[in-house]
Amino acid sequence: MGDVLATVNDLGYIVAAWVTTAVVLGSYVAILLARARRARLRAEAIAARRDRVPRTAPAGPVDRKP
Amino acid sequence: MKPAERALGKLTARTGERVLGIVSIVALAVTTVMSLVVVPPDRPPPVGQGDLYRIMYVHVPAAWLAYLCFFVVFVASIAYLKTQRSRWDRLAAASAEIGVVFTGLAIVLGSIWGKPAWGTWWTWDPRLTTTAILFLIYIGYLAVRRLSDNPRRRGRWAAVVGIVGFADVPIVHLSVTWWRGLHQGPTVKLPSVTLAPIMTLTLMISLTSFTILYAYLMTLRLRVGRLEERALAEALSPRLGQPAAALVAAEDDAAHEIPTVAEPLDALEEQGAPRG
Repeated sequence: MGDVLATVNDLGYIVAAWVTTAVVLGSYVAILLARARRARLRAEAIAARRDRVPRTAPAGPVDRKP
Repeated sequence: MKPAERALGKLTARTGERVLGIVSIVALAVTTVMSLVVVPPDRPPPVGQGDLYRIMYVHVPAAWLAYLCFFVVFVASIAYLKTQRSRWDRLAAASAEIGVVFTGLAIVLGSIWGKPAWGTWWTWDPRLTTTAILFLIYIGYLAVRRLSDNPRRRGRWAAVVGIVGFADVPIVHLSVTWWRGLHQGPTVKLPSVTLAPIMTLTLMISLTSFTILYAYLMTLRLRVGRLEERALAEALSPRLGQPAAALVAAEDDAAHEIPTVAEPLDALEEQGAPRG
């Protein structure tokens, strides 16, 4: 294996190119998946909060008689 | 749209995205094996580049994808200005973002290739310079998209930049023919191809793999756009007095036209109401 690698010139640059490609594309996919999840959770949280408000708020004027 | 059709559309969109993701991984794995193991090295230096030329199998597809992305931005921008339909704007935005990633990747990979081949990481060669300008143009495109909160105004401004900015793509492509520089001429210049058949085949496999990856990234990025628009619609819906569903369609229904939230936003602006 060592002999094979020794015959490949500029191996470091070739490996660097492949690793860079994998890291850049992999990171971008991970960022997109995280953005999708965050946006979905935000939308759901806003919708849940909005739906909860009418049920907990008083339906009319509060009777403050002693 | 009937609930059953909507559910089917949702399933198809997510299933299609997953299938594309799996196919992309398999295709990129095949590309890697072909590029690093199967295809023979070039003639040894100083006549050829030995093994170093293998960087071509990621550098050329990255550059090709950048062209493709910006062509999609160009077409979608024209379609948006003509029809004012928000789906074209979302398509252009998604493609521009992916195009910036691939342009940046092509520049970095070219630099990694340039150091051993030319003895420098960077030189003001016509191809490199015009590519750097292309990168900056589309960074500017993404910056323009952040200037306005109003989707309609944002779409209009971005479409103009997307159309004008595309003028640099043919300049980048033809720069190696028009001006003398360190960068080599076109590798594949139909009908003549300067590569050996196995190298050409590997390059074609690599180009196809990256194009499939582009399709996957587009479906994913479009879903992000739809979800972010839905989050905005949910936030705006109490103030606008309309349910969020009326502002934005089902999140994963790719075939469905999502109504724009531009009209209510325009009305809010006219009333002088702050957005938040």
